[in-house]
Formats: sequence, structure tokens, C-alpha cells
Amino acid sequence: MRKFTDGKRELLVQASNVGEALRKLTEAHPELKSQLYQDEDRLVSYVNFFVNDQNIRDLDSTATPVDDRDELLLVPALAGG
Amino acid sequence: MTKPDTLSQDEALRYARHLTLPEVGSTGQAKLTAGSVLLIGTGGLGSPAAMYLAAAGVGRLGIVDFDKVDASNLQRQIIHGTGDIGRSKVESAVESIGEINPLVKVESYDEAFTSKNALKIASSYDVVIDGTDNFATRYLVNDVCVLLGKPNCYGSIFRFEGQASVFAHDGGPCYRCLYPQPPAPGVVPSCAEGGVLGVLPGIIGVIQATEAVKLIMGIGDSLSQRLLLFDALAMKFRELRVRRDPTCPVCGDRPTITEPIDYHQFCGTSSSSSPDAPQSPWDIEPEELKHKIARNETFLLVDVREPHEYQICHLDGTLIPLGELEDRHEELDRNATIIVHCKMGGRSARAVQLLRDKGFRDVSNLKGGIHAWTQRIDPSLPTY
Repeated sequence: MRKFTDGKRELLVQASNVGEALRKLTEAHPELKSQLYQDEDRLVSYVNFFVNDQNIRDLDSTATPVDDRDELLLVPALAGG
Repeated sequence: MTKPDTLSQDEALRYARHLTLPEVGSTGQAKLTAGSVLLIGTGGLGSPAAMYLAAAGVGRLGIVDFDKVDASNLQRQIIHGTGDIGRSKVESAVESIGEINPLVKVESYDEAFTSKNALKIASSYDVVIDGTDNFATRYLVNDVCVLLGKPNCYGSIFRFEGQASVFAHDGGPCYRCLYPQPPAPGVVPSCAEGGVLGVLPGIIGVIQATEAVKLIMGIGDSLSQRLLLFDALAMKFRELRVRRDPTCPVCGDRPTITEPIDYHQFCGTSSSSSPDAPQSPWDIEPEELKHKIARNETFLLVDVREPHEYQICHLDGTLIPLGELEDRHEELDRNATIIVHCKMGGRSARAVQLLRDKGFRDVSNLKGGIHAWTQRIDPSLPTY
């Protein structure tokens, strides 16, 4: 994914929930969109999205609220061994 | 130090630093000696894991690999040496393990780990280590561990980063709970394409071995319900919570996967890479199916995917998973016009051939499966 973020490992966005954070992220880096979304609304299932250490699937999905102390982690499946 | 009853003098000397640890001692060492670990893959992860497990005195190690040692492996696959290039990996690994600790019994499987042999191979081991390098085999290892009730010491790596966890243990989640579906082929690059730092699998593979040793001895807290992330460039570890998914098709409350499935089909890795290439001599395009529906033509739509896939999305077809079609084809009218579909068109192409071989005359394959239908006809359907 970093090839679509100019190699940046961490990005700062202002948002009130996960969906908004991802929208701003993909607006800033449009090529990321196909990596994260399977269509307009649905996220791909081979990337997990964690707010701090909690999976958004166990929270309120993309409606999970965030503030400026939170970290959103994108954790894709890796196959290498 | 008193020599433990269950260990020989040689063993007591060899494992002295374990015996000195009160948490291990002779009891823990005896558990290791009586224990067994199956390593799937003797590559980057399997190499250090196997070497440390052998040194630690795990009594029986199984190693599965169909591959041969290549010069490009040696940057990280430290169980193999320069003189092993061209040899079978399991043969090379057996030799290295024998040199590290001749007290360890090694059982080698110079073959691929497949849906056909996996349950049989894994059934006699206490713990499984997933050191595979592709999604199809990872899902197979996961499902087999869940089905057999064996803990899966999971690790995976890419470039400078790795992940580790323990799945299918003590009511915790499995790999499918974390990653319900694999990426489409080619979306996530392999280490061969993207590269991998040579020392990285040393760290992740030894974490897997650490978890295996702890599980066998019954000490400490396992990585079950936790995903450990490692970033070598930042030299940072992070820990994330992973919960069991009650709707998981293999470890959930109502499992639909009760035996190994066709993992290449599941991962789409055996479907044609060119969208224009025919999948079956009797392909029909999604647009043609749409016209048939619009013209109210009489035909039977048969869906040969698995029930958990049907739950995600379907076209109201009759569900007969490909694996059951041989036994259930008589449920279908052989004079009917039949259109078969699956996810991507690969399984349904095989189903069309099977039915035609049984004497069905008017059977077609929905080219590209429900995936193509969703892309070209009905984007409102969930994709997976």
C-alpha cells in the first residue's frame, strides 16, 4: 500500500469516525481506494482495520468514532513464509 | 542438580539450561520430549523454527515441503546450506536437524500439503507451525487445525514486516476469523515479487517456535486472541486483539466447512489469468444469462460453490457444492437446460464437464462466475 502513499508509513488525517478517516485518506491518495474498498462502500476483507488495538469489526465498523488520540491501523493479509 | 528420572545422562546434560529453569525443569523437558510439532514448509519461517524446536528437544518433528533448495533461498532459509542447492528441502532439513540434535525423531513428507493428505499428516502431531508461502495453503492449514483441534502457530512475512499469532487454540479465533477471504490472485505480492529481509523470518519463525514450545509445556500466555505485528525497519512490536467470529465458516457456531475444501478454487489461483480465455467449451457470458432471464427462458441455475459463499451472495441457484455433484447429479433433470456458476468460473467449468460426462446435453458455464455477474450486471450484490 505504501507505493500509493509516496512511501509514507504514517499519515495524519482529521476525522470523527473511521469511515471519514478512510475517505480522507483515499481522497489524498486515490490509488489506495482500490486496495481498501471492494466497491463504493464495502471494505475488502483481506485488510483489517484496527482503531488502536481493536478491530473495527468488533466495534462499530466504519462508524467507529475516533479522535485525535487514536491510531487507525491497516493490517493486510501477508502470505510470505 | 538431581538427574531427572525420565531423562538420560546425555539428555540431562544437553538440556541442562532448561532443567535449571523452574518453569521448565525435568517435567517441562519430559513434555517436550514426548511432544510433537508439524512444520508446514521448511522455508524462511520453517527453517529457524525447526532448528530451535530440534535444539529444544521436541521429541518428534514432522516436516512437509515439496520444494527443492534454490540459491535464492539461502539468504534466509538457514536450515539449508550452499551444498544443498538442488536437493529436496526435507532431505536437507532432516540432515541439519540430525546434526543439531540426533535425539529428535524426524518424519519427512517430501510432498505438497494438500486437501487430500492434510488431515492424515497433521492428525498425529500436537502443534502445527504454519510456515507456508501462499494463501491457499494457509487456509488449508487453518481449516485442518480447526477440524483436528490442533493449535496453529501462525507466522507470515513480507518485506520488512511480519505477523504472528496462535489460532484455533482454547476457544480463540482462527485465521479465517481475522481474514475471512483471501485477496484476489496478484493483489498482494509474494516475497518473490516484493522481497523480504533475510533476518525477518528468523524473528517471526522463532516466535512461532516459542509459542509451540510453551504450548507443549503448558506454560506462559500464548498469542491466542492476539496478533503480533513486527516492523523491522522501525524495530517495533505491536499487539492487536483478535476475536473469534461466531459466523466463521470453520470455527463459528454453525460451521459450513467440515472437511478440507478446494483451496486453489477458494483463492482463485487456478482460474485463468486472462479474462478472454475460455473457461469451458460451453461458456456463456453474464450478458447472455441476463437476456435469458429477461426473455423468461426456462433453465435451471446451479450454484456449485460452498454454503458459506452462498450466504454471502447468490443468484437463487440450486446449491450443490462441486465436491457433492458426483453423488448428487441425479437430483438434476438431465434433459433440462442447465447453467452452472461458481465464484469465478473455474469450479463451474469442471462441474459442466462432469455433468456432460454423465450424459447431460444442455449444460453451460457462467464465465467469470458470480464475480463477473456482479461486476457487469448487478453491482449491488456483495462481492467477496
